[in-house]
Amino acid sequence: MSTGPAAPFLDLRDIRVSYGSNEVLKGVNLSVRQGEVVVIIGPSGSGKSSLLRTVNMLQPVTRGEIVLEGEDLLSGKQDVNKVRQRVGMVFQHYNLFPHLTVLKNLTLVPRRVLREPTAESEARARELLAKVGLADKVASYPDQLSGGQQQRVAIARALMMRPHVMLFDEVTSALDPQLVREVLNVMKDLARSGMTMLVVTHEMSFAREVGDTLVFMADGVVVEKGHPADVLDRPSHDRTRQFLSHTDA
Amino acid sequence: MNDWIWPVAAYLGQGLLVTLWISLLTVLLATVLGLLIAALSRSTLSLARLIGRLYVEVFRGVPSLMILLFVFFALPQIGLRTGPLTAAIIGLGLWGGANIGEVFRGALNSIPYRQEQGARALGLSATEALVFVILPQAFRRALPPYVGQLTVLVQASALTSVVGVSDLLGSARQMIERLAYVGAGGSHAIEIYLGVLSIFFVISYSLTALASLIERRLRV
Ligand SMILES: Nc1ncnc2c1ncn2[C@@H]1O[C@H](COP(=O)(O)OP(=O)(O)O)[C@@H](O)[C@H]1O
Ligand SMILES: [Mg+2]
Repeated sequence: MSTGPAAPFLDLRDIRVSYGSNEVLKGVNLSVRQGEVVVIIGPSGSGKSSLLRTVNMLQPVTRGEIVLEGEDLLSGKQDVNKVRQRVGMVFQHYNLFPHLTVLKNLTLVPRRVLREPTAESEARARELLAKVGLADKVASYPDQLSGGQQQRVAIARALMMRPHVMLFDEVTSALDPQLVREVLNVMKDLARSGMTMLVVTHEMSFAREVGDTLVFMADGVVVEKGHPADVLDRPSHDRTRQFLSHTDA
Repeated sequence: MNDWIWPVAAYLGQGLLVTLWISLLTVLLATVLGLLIAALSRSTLSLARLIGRLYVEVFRGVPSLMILLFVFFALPQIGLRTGPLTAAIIGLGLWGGANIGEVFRGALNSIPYRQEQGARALGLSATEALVFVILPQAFRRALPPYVGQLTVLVQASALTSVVGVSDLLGSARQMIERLAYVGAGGSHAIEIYLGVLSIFFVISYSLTALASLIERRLRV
């Protein structure tokens, strides 16, 4: 299988996930093109996080197929850790390593696991930190930074692995309102640079402005998807309408 | 006259060496056991976790002196002839292992799952996440209570005088008895016990001071 222009970059087919007897993803299908920004919205508990976690194999699936760049991730032949290096993920709670400086947070995996020379990984780290506006914070520890700064470090850290696709799980939900913008701006730049992104968020203006596709999930299924403006302004399902009436879209 | 002081001090000095030796070996044994217990508590095998749990509950549930006496009298019964010193170290080590195991386990569990998830998401294997992310943080958290347990073990070493070890306290008691028997200037119990007490205090205090120094250095 090759990744021709027609083949999707990332293809999720009939993804099912259960916690015990509780099925939380009930057959999700989603195709993502290279460079596409897919924004996923939906009520709490609808399975958005579980879906993102399946893509970087943090979440075992009970059924379904995940094809990334033509490779079947669930074939059992893939090196999980290699796949995760290609799939960057940023979480709501940053998950920075508090015992390491900002610089070391970024260079840990390249140096220890990929065996990159220190000078090389540090140079790339500084470049990425400059890109997210934190060039002056290399020597700081995470607890010396604001939430927005920590989240930008987390994004830079994920980018260190040169991922082919980035997953964002409510990365601004834990931030004070005035810090949200600086993180969204970094994500916007990333989208403009052509990164393929799956973004779970409550920020409808971001969905409208940056998203190529908007997916509305509820109760473990994709209820509706389409161009963001279409879904937001002319939802075709009651469930979507109902959800959107509680947001400021 | 104070001519009793130097012979007594020399004798107590030997006792101090014994106390330090017991403490060192007990701490080593207890630390190894503690690491083992913490590892058991993280095992995916429920039987391994149960064994670790049982060990901790049993050894924390009984007085250290009981364990000491039990080991001292039980080992010969099953054919292991040991001196009081060995029995004392094994007894205190078994007891300390349970407490130190709890310290290590608590420190490991205090690292939020998010840290592991963040590390795995970057492509670290489970072992790499443990080595580079979880353990360095757990180590910093464990250090202050670990040193606290060390001072407890140093102090508990004084119990070994009960099974006839001439540690610092044991030597002190022997000296007091001898001075009382000789008669001349009384037993000097107050001076001698105050001396012993000061030595224990200095050791414990130094350990605690060392811990807070390391703590500041390591950014706990
Ligand atoms: N580790 C877990 N164990 C058991 N149930 C879970 C776990 N994680 C999520 N769930 C359940 O799965 C459902 C979907 O959760 P999640 O994927 O986090 O949804 P969302 O991100 O949309 O809020 C929820 O009902 C949640 O309670
Ligand atoms: Mg979620």
